[in-house]
This record gives sequence, structure tokens and C-alpha cells, in this order.
Amino acid sequence: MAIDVEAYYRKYAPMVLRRCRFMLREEEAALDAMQDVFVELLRREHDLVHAAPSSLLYTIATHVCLNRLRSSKRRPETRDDEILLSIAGDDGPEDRTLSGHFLDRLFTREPDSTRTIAVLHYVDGFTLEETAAQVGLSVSGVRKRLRGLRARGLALKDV
Amino acid sequence: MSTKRVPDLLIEQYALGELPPATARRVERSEGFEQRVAKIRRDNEATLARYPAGVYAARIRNQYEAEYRDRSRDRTPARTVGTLAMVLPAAAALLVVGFLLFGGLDVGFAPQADPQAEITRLKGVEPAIAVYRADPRGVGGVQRLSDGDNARAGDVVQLSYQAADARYGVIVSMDGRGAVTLHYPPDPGSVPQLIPGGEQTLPYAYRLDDAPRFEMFLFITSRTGFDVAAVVSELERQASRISDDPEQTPDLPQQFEIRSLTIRKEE
Repeated sequence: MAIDVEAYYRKYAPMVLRRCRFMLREEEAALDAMQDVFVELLRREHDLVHAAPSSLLYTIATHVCLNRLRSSKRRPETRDDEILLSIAGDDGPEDRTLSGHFLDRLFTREPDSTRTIAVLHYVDGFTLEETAAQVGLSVSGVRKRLRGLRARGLALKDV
Repeated sequence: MSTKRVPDLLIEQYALGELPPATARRVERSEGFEQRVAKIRRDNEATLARYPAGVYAARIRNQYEAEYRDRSRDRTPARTVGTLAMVLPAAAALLVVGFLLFGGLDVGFAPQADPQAEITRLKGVEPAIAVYRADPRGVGGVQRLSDGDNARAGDVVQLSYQAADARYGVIVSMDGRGAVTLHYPPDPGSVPQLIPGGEQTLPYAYRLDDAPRFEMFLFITSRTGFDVAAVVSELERQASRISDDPEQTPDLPQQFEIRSLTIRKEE
């Protein structure tokens, strides 16, 4: 599906930028990340089948920002922020192995990045069912990923 | 009214009109629903006013072109594109140009002379084009070329522009063989939207080929949109006349302003 970048930008960029601001807390970094999100979308425009791509863009934004946060030195400002930075810094085996291919898989609705799942559930407040719907996994699949995250020592509990 | 806070994404999707009816009704009953939607709508307007769609869509396209679509071309630096060989995506810096000649692509950025000392930035409020050349002596740095300066086949050049009040524009080159090459936008089907503000460097540097006598760079601007392919086609039609006499410039309709910079080729 070819993308009209300007039309997509007009419709979705404010949402993507708000997401990036929420995660990165810094306007310039958020603006850069927002552009990266649309570049990722363009990169896969021929695989795109979503009629309403807000979920996809939101999840790509989460992934892009998590990668930026991993190398960031910023200190947490709130409890949610503390959880977010803790998740961003986690380097579990799934993400080490799979993160590089996460966006490719996202477009084909294959299993998602554990860290992105964790942000949706623990920071955004999606239920397990909503998280599963968001990333195209079963609830048990999401639960299993989050168990793995907790087993690696992250102090997280189901919301 | 539900007491559980509805995730931001669902409010966003409500505002976008992308929620299924049942979910939309649930979201409407959530605490603070109206304020949250109103806040999103206000922020949408503010964001698009501060970061205009035309400008940022062009930046996104440019970034994409630089990072992905032409990545395969990076691996074949000798490939000829029209009259010039495209050698490197150079969105970041003119410094790269100087480095190319002796550093290669795999090593990273070599220490350079202070570029500010060597590059006179485009100034003023008129649309302008600039051509920079990597130091052909291989000692690093770049040199801004002026109209009529000499260059040789094999020299690596970087193009940049300043849009000033022009909203649309193309950068093309014509050479002594009468060949026309489009440099910006990346393809004739693109919208020729210019990025306003300061100097904008094109994402690629180019290696001059062995076309004889001259290389003329044209920055053709307009305040209104136009068909890039039609302009290129018209330039191709006039190329043989200009090839015979590079003192001439192309003859285009009144909506266009033309800035040119001609490099003389040393034999």
C-alpha cells in the first residue's frame, strides 16, 4: 500500500509526537523519534495493509523510543517513568535475539517485542487482553513474555 | 462512569474516529473523557502549526531516501547516475565529502579541519544553490566552488540549497554532452517541496564524470507547485542549445526563477 506521507503526517503525526514526548520527555528528541517512526512506516509501505494504522504507529513509536531510552542517561521523574526506564534497560534474550527484526515482524503480525508489550501493559495500563489484541498475540503469549521479564528481576506486577 | 483510566491510545483512536462502536461507547463513559479528547484536538492544531505537514513530510521523505531506498546504491559507488556518479548518502555533513577521497565508507568520520573555517554558508533571503568540493589534494576539508571555478572528472561535489521564500524547486545539472540529471527531488514523480529555513544539504555527494567542458547546476524555484517531470523534459529539449553555449540559461515559464552555477571542466 503506497503511503501519502503528507496525508499520514497530517492525520497521525500529532499522536505519534505525543507518544514520543511522553516517553522521551524532551521535545527535540521526540521530534527526531517521530520522524524515525514515519521513516519506518515508509520503509515497509508495500507491506502495509492496515486500514486504520494508529495502533501500528503507536507501537512503532513505543519501540523507537525504547531504543532511544536504552542509551539515554535521563533520570526517572515519576513512578511510570521509573518503570519505563527499567523496561527500556532490560536486555533479555528475546530482545537481544529478536529486537532487530521486531518491526519486520510487527508488519506481519508475528510475535512482538517483550519490552514493547511491557510498556503497553505496565505503563499505558492496557489489560492483558488489550495488550494481546494490540500486538497480535494470545493472552497466554503475552503473559508468558511478561513472566520472563519479571523472572529477570524487574519489579513489575500485573495491572 | 468507569474508574479505571482508559489508556491514551484509546482516547487517541476515539479522536481519530478509528474505534469500533462498542469500544467508543466505553471510552465515552470514562472519567475525564471530554477533557482528554479536547486536549488532543487542541494539541493536534498546535503541533501541525508548529511542525507543518508539508515541511516535515518532505524531511521524512528525504530521510527515508537517504537511509533506505538508496542504500543499495551506496554499495556501488561507481554507478553513474546521468552525468554524475552518486557516491554517498551525506545527509549529515559536508565533512563526509572530504573524508570520502581517502577514508572510505567503512572507517567512520575522520578528523577534519574546522568546516566553519572553510565553508561560507549561504546568506541572504534569495533562493540560492551552493556546490562544495572535497579537497582534491586529499588533505581533508571542503571548498565552496564559485561560478566559473574549475573542477576535474573524479572530483566529489556536494550540493545544497536555500529556499528563502520559494516553496517548490528542483535541482538539476546539465553537462557538456547535453545530459540532464535530476538531483532534487529524488525522482520526477515527487512533489518538489523545498525545506524552508537555512541551508539544506542534499543527502548525496556526487563524483563528476568525464563529460567535457562544463557542468551547470540549476536551482529552479517556484512559489507554486509544478510537475517535475515536465520541467526536466523541457530542460532536456533545450540541452543541446545550452551545451553549445553554456553562457545561456534555460528558458522557462514566468513562474520559475532560475539560479545557476557553472563549473568548468579541466581536460
